[in-house]
Amino acid sequence: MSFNQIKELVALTTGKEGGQFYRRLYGLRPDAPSIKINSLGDWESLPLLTKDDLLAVPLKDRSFLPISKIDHLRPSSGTSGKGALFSPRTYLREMDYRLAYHDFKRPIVSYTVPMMPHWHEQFQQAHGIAGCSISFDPKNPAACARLARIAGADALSFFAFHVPLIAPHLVREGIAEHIRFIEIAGEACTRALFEFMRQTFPRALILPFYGSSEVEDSPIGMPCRPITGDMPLALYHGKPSHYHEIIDPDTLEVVEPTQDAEGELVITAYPGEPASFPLIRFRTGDTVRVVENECAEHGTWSFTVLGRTQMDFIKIQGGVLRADEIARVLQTMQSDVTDRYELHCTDEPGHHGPLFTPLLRVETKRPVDVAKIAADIAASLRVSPTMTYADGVAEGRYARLICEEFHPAPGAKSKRIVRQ
Amino acid sequence: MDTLTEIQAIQDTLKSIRCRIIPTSFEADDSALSGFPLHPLSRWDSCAQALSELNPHGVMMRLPLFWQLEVLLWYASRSVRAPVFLNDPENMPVGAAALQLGGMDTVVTEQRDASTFADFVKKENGELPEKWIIVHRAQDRWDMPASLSGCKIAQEVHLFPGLPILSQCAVLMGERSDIPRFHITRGNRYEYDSKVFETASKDEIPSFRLNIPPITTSEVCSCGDSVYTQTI
Repeated sequence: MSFNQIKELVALTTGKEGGQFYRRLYGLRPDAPSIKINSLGDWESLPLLTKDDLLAVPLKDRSFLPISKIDHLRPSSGTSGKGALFSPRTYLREMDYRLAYHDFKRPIVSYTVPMMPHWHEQFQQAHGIAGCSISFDPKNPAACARLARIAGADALSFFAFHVPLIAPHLVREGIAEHIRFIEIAGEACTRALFEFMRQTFPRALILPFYGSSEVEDSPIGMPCRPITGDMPLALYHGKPSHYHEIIDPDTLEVVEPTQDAEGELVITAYPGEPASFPLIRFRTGDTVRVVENECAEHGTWSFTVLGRTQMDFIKIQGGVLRADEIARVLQTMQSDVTDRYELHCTDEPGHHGPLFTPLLRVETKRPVDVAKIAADIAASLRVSPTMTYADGVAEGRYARLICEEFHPAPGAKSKRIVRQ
Repeated sequence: MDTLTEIQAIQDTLKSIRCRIIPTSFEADDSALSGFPLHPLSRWDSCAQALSELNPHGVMMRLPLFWQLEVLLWYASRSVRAPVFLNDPENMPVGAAALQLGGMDTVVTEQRDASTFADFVKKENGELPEKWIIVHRAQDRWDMPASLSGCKIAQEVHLFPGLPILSQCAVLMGERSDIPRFHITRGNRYEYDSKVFETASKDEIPSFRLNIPPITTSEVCSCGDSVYTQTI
């Protein structure tokens, strides 16, 4: 977006008519005119928007469209004990870049993320192809793989951590070698996952998708190239309907997006009408690093996603590991441990592909049997309303939880969840 | 040739024809699970009809994703200008929150889930959503979920997920009997004597003659169609 476009967007979203969300967020009096920004300084003085701001306002008061004009809602998991956020969506635009990588003439197996199955069919139909998708059900991957084989699917689109879940079933159905396109969203693709995909799906082009439930004008970043093994594995550039900034998450100062600069990505996104929620200066919570000042092919600065800035949850197969949930479990074991910890997460090669492997470093109060502590924590640690971490281990979804003792200096800051 | 043998015989040809695939079983671990072809332009008309009667603000689906009903439900919901929200059947807290905070007021679920979810929502939110679409599995007893008395309910019977064989008009939806009554879904044919349900053919999709559980006809509805109940 150009500076003129963001000026117009601010004027549009702070007018007396229409959605009142930003007027309230910016503290405008009822009779105040819309905000006019004249300089970058004016722009950077606008408050940053956070997920907490969105959670604080009911959907009906947040949406810029009547609910009848919304296509679907996307939930994002509550973190730190907060409730789920329901984000309105209209439809996706500027998605034709995908056609440079795949023809979409065969059915695609898709979860609801990054795009809903109906959206895939609409995309196919918009390009003169009889749309057909197979909805992927993470609870029932074998059945979906069978339907994918029957339908002749040749493409997959879902979370990165779904790949090891369905891969053995696609192999069993004899169609892994027919998969030509894999679109993965969610946590950053690890080297272990990439190697697994390359081995299991030798003909597949792997394309990263960087989205977020709160960002209607998805994706946040357009992929500069497929994942080929070159580092960084996933590389993105901005979309014409977006304005990206990088901030220092501690000082909230804007960081110049020059090569190797790091910080939290802040996004302004407005796809044009209809838009159920134009985003202005939204903190994505993701730390990014600028890779090139000017992407040779796309002109703007390119970046890679390093992980969550203040990671208080991590999505895993079948659920979410939440920082506050770990703290809750530790608080039930007060005679042995405190609730200070660091969780280091990685993927390790397993029998059926990469396996989520956590190491929990806990502050102990006295000499303890860390193996027993780990087993007790896993048995109580909920990753979904119906599953504990230990249940997931028993189902082969995750590696066993390992604990080790940890003695941080008094008052020292520690990262609670670290993705490696 | 019985229903499943006839369908299994065409499995290898389905990838060559333009069709939408639905599973032939409600159970994901059914070893006989196959694909059943629907015309690519087929819609869930009975659901769209029910939604037009219910006039929803937002439609929440709690059916398993592998049933392949998301796309069909989305078309039905668009026809009444209502957004959809997919709720993992195992994640009832988010489902209850969507009803309370997300503007959803209509639940599409199956009979086996309805009472459990209704009890949870009542405890969590203090009240039930008013509008429900309940899918019965053909081989189950088609009982009205007791927890939903007082709600507006449209009920359907599916032979496979996405293949409704029986549905209700506005008159039957308004009945409050414990034993729901249905019509044969429009566009299909039922041979009462041979107990065979014949699907409509279109383009490359042939018609199928399917055996369905015993049903009894009693009278003609004021809408003009014959009324059927489950033979118990």
